Amino acid sequence: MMSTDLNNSMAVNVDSNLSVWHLLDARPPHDGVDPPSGEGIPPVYDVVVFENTILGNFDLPFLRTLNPKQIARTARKGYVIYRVLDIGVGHEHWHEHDCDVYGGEMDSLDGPGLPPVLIERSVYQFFNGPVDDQGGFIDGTVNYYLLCPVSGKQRDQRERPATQRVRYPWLDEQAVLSERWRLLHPDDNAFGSFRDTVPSSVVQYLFKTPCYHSFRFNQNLFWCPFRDGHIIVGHVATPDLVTFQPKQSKNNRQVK
Amino acid sequence: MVVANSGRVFAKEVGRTRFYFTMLEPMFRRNGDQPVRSVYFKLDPEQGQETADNADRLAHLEGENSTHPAAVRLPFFVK
Repeated sequence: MMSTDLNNSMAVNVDSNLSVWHLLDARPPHDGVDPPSGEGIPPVYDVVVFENTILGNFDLPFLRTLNPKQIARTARKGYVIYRVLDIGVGHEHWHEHDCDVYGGEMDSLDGPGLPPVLIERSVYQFFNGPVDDQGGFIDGTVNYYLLCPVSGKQRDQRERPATQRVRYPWLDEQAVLSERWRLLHPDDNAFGSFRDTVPSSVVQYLFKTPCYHSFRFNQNLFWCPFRDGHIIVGHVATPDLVTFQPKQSKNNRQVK
Repeated sequence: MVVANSGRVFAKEVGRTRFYFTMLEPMFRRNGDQPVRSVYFKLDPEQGQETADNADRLAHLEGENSTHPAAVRLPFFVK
């Protein structure tokens, strides 16, 4: 499965490297998909350029756009983080209980699985063993979170606007499966070919099978205060304080 | 910035948008005090380099025969 190198990844044994700092590599893989665009989505920039090791040796500028060295290059985009307000780390769900009032958390292992091989709950048991429980991985995988404004063109603090929208990017510890820092929003759901074939994130399932019985996800009823610009930082009196800013949203709804 | 939760210490480098994590103890143990291998997958840092050894990518999965749910699927990845 991994030996075919479909997703340019390597395995890291953490237990052989206890008390060693591991640098998080959030570069998108070669077949990664660029972040979405749209209202409220921050701009993205090239964060990594891959070059074909064979074509890259032929630099023929006179061919202009057909220069093999240029053709061999593939740029992948991501969010450029330049000011971090806070960081967080936590497990994905281990155990969760549904209740009639609130329902339960949505988890990728509670989806339709990976038909035709692993159908519905069998994908959960593939990851967690012969048990039947509510959602979650038990292999210890964590997610990393940032609280930060995101904009690549404002690295110079002197050009920083008075107030900035705060974002909430996340990265799975399985970084190559997460591909890059992603917005905590169901629209940031596109993955490369390998990960699209073998979905691992709940946002993929919410996009592909929103009506599945354990999800019943209606994006029309989903509202994101981060994307709508209500979470800001940069008041004059408290420049580093993150606040909720009520404002008129695009549909003239007053948010309190 | 340093935070800790769920067996991880997560830190941001001062003045840089670079982040690190570490673990101080194994996540799981079996057969008494034997650690269960914790593995994560990242982008191969050697890809494109002339010195890259393809076998290095999966070296950390070799020899795993644990029946612990956290590691039982690891041999499947190298097949």
